[in-house]
Amino acid sequence: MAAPESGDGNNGAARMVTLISSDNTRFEVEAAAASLSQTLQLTILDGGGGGGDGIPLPNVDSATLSKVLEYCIKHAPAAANGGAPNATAVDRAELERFDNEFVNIDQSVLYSLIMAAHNLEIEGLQSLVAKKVADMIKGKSPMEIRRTLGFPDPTPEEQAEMNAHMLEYGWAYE
Amino acid sequence: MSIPAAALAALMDNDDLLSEFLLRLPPQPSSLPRASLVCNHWHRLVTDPGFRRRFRAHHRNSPLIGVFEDRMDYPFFSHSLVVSERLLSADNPNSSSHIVRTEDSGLGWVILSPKNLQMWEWKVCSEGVARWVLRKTEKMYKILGMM
Repeated sequence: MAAPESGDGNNGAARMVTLISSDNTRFEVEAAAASLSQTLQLTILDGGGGGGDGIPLPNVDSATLSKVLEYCIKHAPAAANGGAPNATAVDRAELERFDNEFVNIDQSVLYSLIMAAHNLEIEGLQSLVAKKVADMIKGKSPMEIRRTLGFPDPTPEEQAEMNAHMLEYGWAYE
Repeated sequence: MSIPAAALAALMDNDDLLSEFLLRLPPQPSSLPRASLVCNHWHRLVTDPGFRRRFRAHHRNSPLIGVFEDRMDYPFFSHSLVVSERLLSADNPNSSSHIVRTEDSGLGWVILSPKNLQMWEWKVCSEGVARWVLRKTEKMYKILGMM
């Protein structure tokens, strides 16, 4: 059970919804956490996902979904406070620490997360994983960027095109 | 590295995702030029005026305090026109200027051209006269690491 929140006037058990991954694993989470996904939010507001129904997510496998939900559960309380204007510095620091640790993951897991965050439209997570990719490539040369991201080496034709861009346009600023 | 080619392609072929990554590159003058030379797709995206507007908007609170398109009409920098004209005519019209904050909060001026990156600093001397001083010239191919 998640740590109890001190939310006033919210007596009784939180509403739960069930999400079903592409490999048919069922995840039961609080509706508030799942609602960080813009894609799921409407379904949940309409009362979907409860009871034995569950919301199928054919594009997200169970490993990725459990990671996504770890993020949502952690961020749901702050999101419920409207971006947590009254959050303490300690709370914010804790979320930041969590975020940094959260994206400290294998690159293939990161790529799956990026896709899932995009499909589920989880804004904070989209931003977090995009920043991670930017951090991976910043300060690197074009060739280093390719290798870091796992691109194949350029073909001689591609290399020639890039050399031409470099000479024609110089910097990408006009 | 064990990245499945399909997963990589799905990410990198998606302009929405790709631009989210590239928007978050630091607003240093070398960031976008480097990205633009990764492949044709990135080049197309990074040189798109819409993307560059978004990039500037994303970083509007960053140390990059001004990028002006029409440098010759910019009165504030009239001091440096003689210098800039000479520098730019020697190169080609693709040069551009960027006013930046230097690390010690001074005023910096970066001139990008196809061959060189020049960094100038606004210096006030003891008599109170201010002028641009050339701090550094770097060959572009060295910065880009292409050769």
